[in-house]
Amino acid sequence: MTNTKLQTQAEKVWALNGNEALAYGALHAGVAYFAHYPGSPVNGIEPVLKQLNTQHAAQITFNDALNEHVAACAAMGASMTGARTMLVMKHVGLNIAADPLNYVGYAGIKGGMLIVVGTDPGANSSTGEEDVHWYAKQFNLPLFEPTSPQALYDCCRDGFALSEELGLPILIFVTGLICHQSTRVQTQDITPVKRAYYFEKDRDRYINVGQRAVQNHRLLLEKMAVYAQTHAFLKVDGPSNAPLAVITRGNTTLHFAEIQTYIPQLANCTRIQLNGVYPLPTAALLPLLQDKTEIIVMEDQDGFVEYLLKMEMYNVLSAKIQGKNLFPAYGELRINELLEILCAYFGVAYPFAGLPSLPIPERLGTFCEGCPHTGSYFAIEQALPEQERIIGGDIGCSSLPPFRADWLLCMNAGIGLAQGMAPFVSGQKLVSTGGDGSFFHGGLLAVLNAVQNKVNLVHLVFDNKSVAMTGHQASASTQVAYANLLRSLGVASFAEASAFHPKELEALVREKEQLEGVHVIWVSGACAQIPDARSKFRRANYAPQIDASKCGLCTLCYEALACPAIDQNDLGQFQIDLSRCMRCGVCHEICPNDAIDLGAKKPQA
Amino acid sequence: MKQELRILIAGVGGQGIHGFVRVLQQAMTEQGYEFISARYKGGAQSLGSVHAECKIFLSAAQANAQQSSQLIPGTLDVLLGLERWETLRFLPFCHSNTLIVADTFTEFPPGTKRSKDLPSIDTYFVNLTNPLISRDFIQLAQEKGWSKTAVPILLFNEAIRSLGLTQYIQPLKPL
Repeated sequence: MTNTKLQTQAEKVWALNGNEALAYGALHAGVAYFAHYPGSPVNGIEPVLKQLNTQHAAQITFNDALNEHVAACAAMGASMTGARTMLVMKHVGLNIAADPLNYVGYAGIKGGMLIVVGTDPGANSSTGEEDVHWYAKQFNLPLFEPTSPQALYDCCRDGFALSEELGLPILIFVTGLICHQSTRVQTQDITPVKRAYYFEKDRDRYINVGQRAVQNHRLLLEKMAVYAQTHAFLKVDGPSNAPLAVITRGNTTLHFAEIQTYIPQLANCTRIQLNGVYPLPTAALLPLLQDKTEIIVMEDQDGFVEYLLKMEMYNVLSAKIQGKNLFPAYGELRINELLEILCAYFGVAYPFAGLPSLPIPERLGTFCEGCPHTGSYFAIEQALPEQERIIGGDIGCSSLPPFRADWLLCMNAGIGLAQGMAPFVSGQKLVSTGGDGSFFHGGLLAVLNAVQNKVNLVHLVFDNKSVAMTGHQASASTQVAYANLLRSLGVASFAEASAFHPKELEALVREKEQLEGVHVIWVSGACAQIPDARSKFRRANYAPQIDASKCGLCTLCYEALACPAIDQNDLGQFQIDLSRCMRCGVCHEICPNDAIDLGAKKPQA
Repeated sequence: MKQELRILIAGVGGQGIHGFVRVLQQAMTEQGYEFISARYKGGAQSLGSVHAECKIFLSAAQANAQQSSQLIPGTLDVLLGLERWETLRFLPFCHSNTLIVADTFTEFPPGTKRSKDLPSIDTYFVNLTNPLISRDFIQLAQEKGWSKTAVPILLFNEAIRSLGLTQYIQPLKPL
């Protein structure tokens, strides 16, 4: 198999966001293999690259992996044949992929390999804001943090060649702010070298066991030590002889450029923008920092660069190094927050005053109108009394409304924690939940583990037929005979239910909850956000409405079901917004007063 | 003339804010202006709080300077509100002269108990002292035969007209 040459074209200027810039960079560098597990904020790379692949007949092989561990292994395998490879996941996914990636540096790679990781300081689109910079040090791989879509494009396009030069994958971390930021990007096609892919046996490199692993570890450390002395990816502005230096990376780089204009003391500092964050380019930094009296490291999250600076240059710098003593290690660190901190530090009056905030009600997460999870959660809550029930929650759309589940930590924490809890909560009613994406990501093993350990547990799989939250990637549930699969694992019972018939699901949960063993209820209902979802629901031709004369204001539909298509007018009456209603019929089924009329059936179009 | 135009667009999931920002980006790029935006999609697919922060650089000097895509509260030129509660949520980004262009569409956070102490949305809007254009842009779009996606475009066009910027920025054309 060979990768055909792409047509070389003139430079082009596009308005691209960070994800799109990465896709273009990969295309123009001749990426041949793309493996990923979808996750915000980098879930936008895959669909764009697939589109470009079709448009340009680029012959890229895609691996829509079921989890990050599989994706990482597959990407390493592709690279070992000489294929240029891109591996994409979000920050928490790096935990899953860490096992093979701990050793990719030992084995080395052949075809250039970029590992793109979406980070999320501030947890704007994630369950958490874990700082994964430490993995760069753990893996001993070069880490880049481009600060704009243009920089992402350049880094991606040129990163493959650097990766091949080093024989190591390159880590590229990108925040949600930069992924979703749109700016003008200048692209330039390059001519990928025509490659013959071939796996060349090299057992000294690829078999990493015992002393061979130790030997390859030593070689990796030596290679990275040389790299740190010979490679520096940084940009220096301002006078080099200023007593103060400010070091930035990622988001803070762009913020600082603007903040600098508001604080006179920062106007003439030496500004160092670290694009290559790991390893710390100590040889390049030494002449820039050795005569400083003060160094401020301005970065979000844990303070990775500050830590490296203090650890690796402690005996050669006399400057006072500041960082996390000034800036919080949590949250996104918005530009205004940084400006406030630095104004206070330098004794400058904060230059702006906004209007006072008003007590606007928080807009908590909700399920979408017609979401299958709406009926599913309603059924569980109706089946199990609030004071007694325990609901293990899981990552994904089913976790959007807060406080429906009792915990929410990571993928498959629902069934994971529940099976440890089960032996000790016989006086309570315990169920665990998870989506179909989570089930195939690792939940399958967790079910088997529960079976083998003779746990008493009801586990509900919410199957909305796609990995809905990250862009409706295909779900394995549409291809796998999951009923047979689960029965073969030895579950005590397997039952299927419709998310749009909560009364039936409620009865099923109540029944199974009293039994011993592992009972799996597979709750199906397609995501309401898929194209033409409205027409796919069974009451598509109806126009439901609430009859105010029958409504007892019990709030079951409004608060317990919490469908966003039901709102409350200024008179306190509940009403259905037909422009939003997806005609799933769940509210009609659960109303105790029969006050929700499905309306006259309209003729079929 | 202003060096740059700072715009915040606020609304709820499903109103097409991110799509509009892409349209605006493309239009400004075609008109020769640098544009930068930060988009926050919120934690919900539908009816969650969504906003985008945008800067249009009207001078070459500003365009060439490295800039954050985020806006500092109190520095906004225009607040475009597609939903009234969300419009009010972002008032701290405004200063006393920030132009507010707000659609009259109102969607109280679903599943939320309405506090008896919470004034009506109209009360808040009546008490605003900023330059304010409040109109039913959805109906206006319908009257013109345009789809819902035209609504943020109409708000934007209203803003640049009101600020006297049409000699620099061409109004966008709804489809």
